[in-house]
Amino acid sequence: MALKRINKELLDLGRDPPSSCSAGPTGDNMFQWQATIMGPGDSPYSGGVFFLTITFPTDYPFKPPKVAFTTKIYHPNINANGSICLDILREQWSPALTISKVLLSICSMLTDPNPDDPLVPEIANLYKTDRPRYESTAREWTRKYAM
Amino acid sequence: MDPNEPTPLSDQEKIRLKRIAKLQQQAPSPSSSPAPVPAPKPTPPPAPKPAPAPKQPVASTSSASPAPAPRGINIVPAGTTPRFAESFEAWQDAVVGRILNVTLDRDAAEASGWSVTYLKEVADEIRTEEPSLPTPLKLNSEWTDRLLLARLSLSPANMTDDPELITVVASLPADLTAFEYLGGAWKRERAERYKLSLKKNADATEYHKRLEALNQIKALLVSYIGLVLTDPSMFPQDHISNKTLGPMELEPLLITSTPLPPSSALSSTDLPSLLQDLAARFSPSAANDFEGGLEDIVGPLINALGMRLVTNRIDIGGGGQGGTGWREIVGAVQSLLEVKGVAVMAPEVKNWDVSTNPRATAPALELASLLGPFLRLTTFPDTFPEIAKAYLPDPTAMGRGNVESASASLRGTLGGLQAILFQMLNNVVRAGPKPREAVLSYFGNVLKANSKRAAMRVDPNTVSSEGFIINLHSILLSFAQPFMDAQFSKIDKIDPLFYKVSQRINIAEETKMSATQTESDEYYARPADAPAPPAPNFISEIFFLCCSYLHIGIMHTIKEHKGYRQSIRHEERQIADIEADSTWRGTPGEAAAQAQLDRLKARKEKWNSHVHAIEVQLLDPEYLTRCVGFVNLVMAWLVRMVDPNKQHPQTRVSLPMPEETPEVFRFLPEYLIEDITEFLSFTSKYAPQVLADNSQDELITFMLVFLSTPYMKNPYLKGQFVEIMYYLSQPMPRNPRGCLGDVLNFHPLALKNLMPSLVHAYVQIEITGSHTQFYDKFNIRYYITQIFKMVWSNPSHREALRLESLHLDRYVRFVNLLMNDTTYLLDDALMHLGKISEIQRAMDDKAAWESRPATERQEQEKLLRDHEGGARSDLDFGTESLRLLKRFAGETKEPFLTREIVDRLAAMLDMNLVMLAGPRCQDLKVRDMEKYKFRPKELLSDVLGIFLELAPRVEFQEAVAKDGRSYSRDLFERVQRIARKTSIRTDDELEGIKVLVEKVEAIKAAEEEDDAMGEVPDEFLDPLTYDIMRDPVLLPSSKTIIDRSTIKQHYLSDATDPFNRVPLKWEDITDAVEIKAQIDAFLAERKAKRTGGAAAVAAAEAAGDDAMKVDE
Repeated sequence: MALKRINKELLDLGRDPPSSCSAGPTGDNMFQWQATIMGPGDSPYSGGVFFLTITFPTDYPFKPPKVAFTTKIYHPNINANGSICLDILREQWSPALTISKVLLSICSMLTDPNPDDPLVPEIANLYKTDRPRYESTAREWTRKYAM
Repeated sequence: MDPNEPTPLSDQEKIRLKRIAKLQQQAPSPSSSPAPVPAPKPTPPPAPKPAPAPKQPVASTSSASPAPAPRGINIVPAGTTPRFAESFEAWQDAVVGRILNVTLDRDAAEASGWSVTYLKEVADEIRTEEPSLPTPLKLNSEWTDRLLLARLSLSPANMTDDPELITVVASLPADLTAFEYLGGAWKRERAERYKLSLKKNADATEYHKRLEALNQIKALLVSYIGLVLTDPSMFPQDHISNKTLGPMELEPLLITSTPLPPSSALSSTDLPSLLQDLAARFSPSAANDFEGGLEDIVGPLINALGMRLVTNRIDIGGGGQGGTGWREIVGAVQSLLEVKGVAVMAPEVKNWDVSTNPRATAPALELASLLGPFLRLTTFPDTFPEIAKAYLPDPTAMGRGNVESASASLRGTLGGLQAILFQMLNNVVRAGPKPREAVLSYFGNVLKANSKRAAMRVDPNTVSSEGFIINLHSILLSFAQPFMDAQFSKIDKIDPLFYKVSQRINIAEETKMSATQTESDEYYARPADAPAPPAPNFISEIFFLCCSYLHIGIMHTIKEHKGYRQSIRHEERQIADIEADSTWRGTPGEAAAQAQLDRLKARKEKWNSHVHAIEVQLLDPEYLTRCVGFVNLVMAWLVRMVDPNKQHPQTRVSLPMPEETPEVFRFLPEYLIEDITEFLSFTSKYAPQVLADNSQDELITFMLVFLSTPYMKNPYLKGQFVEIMYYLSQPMPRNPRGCLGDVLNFHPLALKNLMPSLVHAYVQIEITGSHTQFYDKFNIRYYITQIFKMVWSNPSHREALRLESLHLDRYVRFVNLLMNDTTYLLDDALMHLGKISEIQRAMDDKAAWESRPATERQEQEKLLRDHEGGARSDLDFGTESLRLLKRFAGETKEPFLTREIVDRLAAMLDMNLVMLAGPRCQDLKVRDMEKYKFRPKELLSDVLGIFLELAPRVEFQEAVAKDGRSYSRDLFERVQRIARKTSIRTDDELEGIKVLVEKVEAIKAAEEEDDAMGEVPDEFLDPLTYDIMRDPVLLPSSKTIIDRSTIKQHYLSDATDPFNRVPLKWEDITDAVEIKAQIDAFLAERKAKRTGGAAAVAAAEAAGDDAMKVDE
């Protein structure tokens, strides 16, 4: 039932692609997408290319898509499994949001982590107490896994 | 400083003189004026004065004494005194001599070998005053005061030049304190009194005369005892060594293990009478000039005993220094307070309640207040970690049986202690209105100082200790016992306006049941209706204090308990991680890793020991039973507060109740419900037997009343109710359905209201306001599914559910959430299983696996564990959720077929068929499926069950046709084959699926035709689903036009406008009439084209074919 909506989103993405990210179905399954995000220039992820998977639930768009990083990334709100702690992917989801908007939110989260609602408390702690060390680790991971 | 220089009197000296003056004033001398008494001076007696005229006739009778013949006056007529053999004077001389152990006759003293003290100074004085008196001088009770003063002024340490005195002083007992001397005299007086009492019926006049003389002696003795205890420096006692003078001289009499000095004539059995005498003399009363003094004796004594507990770290496990155990020390205080006079005066002791002292912080209260050191004795490890160490050192190694028996023995001790502590305070409460108020105010002040204990996190250094507060709670429960009878016969005595009338408990800042802070402030500031209600009675005081101590007491203990258990789990996880990781074995790091492991294990065991020490109190069946009794009372009272007839529980409440929340209830603090809920939740998990042993009538009534009404706003609490119901329905020893299973199935209130209540709870738990609400709801809903399952076979409950489903609007909301959950959980579960399968397969390829770097393997192993955990809990919840869906879809079909539900339902079911039976279902193949409770056959059977329930309905067929994702004829044929092969469904049933597929195919064919009709204008498409709108409506705030079924689907989970998140009211949505007309016209036109133009289409296709041919 969500097919029309997903088709529409794909169409819009092709027509007006957001800068620094892209997304589309993997193979012929319209409900399983892959996305890429370019590490924002003003962040320690700069220069990296990050891959994500997007899975649409059957009740999309009434429920949020499932989005996870497949590229390893050092970030207070993203854990080792690639799970993302982002409010619009949970209780703040609205059916009026789109994949494009979700990806843009993730981009801005890379620039501005939210250490007060962390998924990885250790990274959040480092982010708060020793910013340079956080940044150098994040840069190192980006070099190692995302370039 | 020159010692000869006269110095101003020290304060102490002044007090001493004042006391002596007072003492002399009060010396009862009803019949005559006393002889002048010289101020006590260590100097020799004053120069002889001219003899004053005799002030009183000295009576004498014929007697056997060797005294010269009396000058016979005042002879009591013979015949009436046959049994008073001696004359009054002879008796008096003998009695005063025996009691005070003194004489005015040197020869008599010498005859006694100087064991009777010869008071030369007094003898000389009297001779000077009254030279006419016969020799030797006979003792007279009128002289008691000066005799005592003279006797007490003598000290073996004060030598003198007077040769006559030297012998006397040298013969004084070397180690006898003033108190011991007076105590002996007091005791001898009692013996004389007893002897006299035997002659009570002989001669009334003579008897009373003699009694009066004894009274006079006794009064002075008691006065002097009080004075020397309060101020031992009043008389020379320099000769005493190795004895603590003052109030502590009572200690050997109180504490049997403290040896009585040989010089003591008193024994512990004398103490109660002595204390009574002291209390009568040193309590404020008309006879005593309204001055007390007893507090200066018992205060220091009790304080010293308390300090001994604290400084010697004496605990109730038998630990601590010094020979005295806690039992004797606490028992000593208890026996002091048994004396009513002491109980009356105890609150007058300066440190009875130190809370007014700004430096007395909460943790200091129990050390600085009079009874604090006794009230803080406990097994809790925060103050007495030695007990945990001594009794529960290594619970894992000890084994369950030993832990149980150590706990039971500590519980016995603790129970005994608390019984004594209650008796102590009960004695004070019963001593009168003023002491009673002092006890209540102590409870109130400790409470005020400890409000922080109710907070989520609290620094233990800022509050009183666990044991102190719990002991006070236990005492309050004992005070509540008289009104906790099974019928709650005193429930009407509990003042609903208590918080308004009394200042004892401050609830200004607390969340109220159903009122904002402003409303609450206004309500409590408004004066109570005229006439002003009376001050709260004792029952109300105890009831509400008890509620507050539940709040700051056991609630905090439960949190502590949870905290320790979490710490243990944390250590366990770390231990498991290290043990599971084999990479360190056999490496140089092995020793360090092993040491780390041992450290973690030791720490875990310490927490474990603390948990058990806490449980000594927290899981004490006796304490819990009393708590449950009280909680039942609170529940009954709260229901009474909302009962429109205000008769519950005498006439039991009935449902449904009015919508409007009664005012008196709205302004009560919410913690009243929160605490009992938390308590019951804890007890239902850790000690369900205690709840089983009590009646569940109040419990079920309370929960159904507040689940089915809007009175209690907090959805989290409703969730807790359900959790409690669930836990109490779990099998218990001797009761396979728990203590609530039968109640849920038979209680008349439950039969009508359980189903609707659970449906409401399921909906309301969606939003708890907690940051973990997304996960919280699954737990609670899991419990709800289990309760539904449990009562499903009961036709009364199913009928109640059917009636509830007739309220379509609210029931659809429930169905929507049930479906949301099922969708999410199964989807998530299957995702986890896919990952598990993937990792397992990677690990199966041993060579490739071993060749990966160790860190990567570790990471994958951890990932595997995470997915395993996720799969387990998702399947746990998801399977039950699906099964509930199947049951409800069978019982109440209509709500599942509404437009806002059916499309998503069909899509979800199709999707699950793909996952479970589709071509790639092998991807889910994992080892040990049962480990995750993954039972694909059962799941498939349940999914098919829902298909079969709904297949005959055209709404459902259309919905399946609309699913562009998972549905295919192939899939359904595959499913039928699998179902037949594994015999999870019969052929007849599978026939139903076949028919469904045919219908769906037909609908799809028709729709495809429609779609082929070309582009639909954008403005006719729904902005969220991009389907053509059939029933467009206008959203009030964003002004978006959207299909009614779309906005309904969103609204059911989230009552906001999806385009701007502004709260949305369903009734504010309006029909978009204009666009509807356009769409209708468009559809009609399309239909006309289709039916009219089928031939044309065919022709066009043919033309196309032709065109292609041309191209070729």
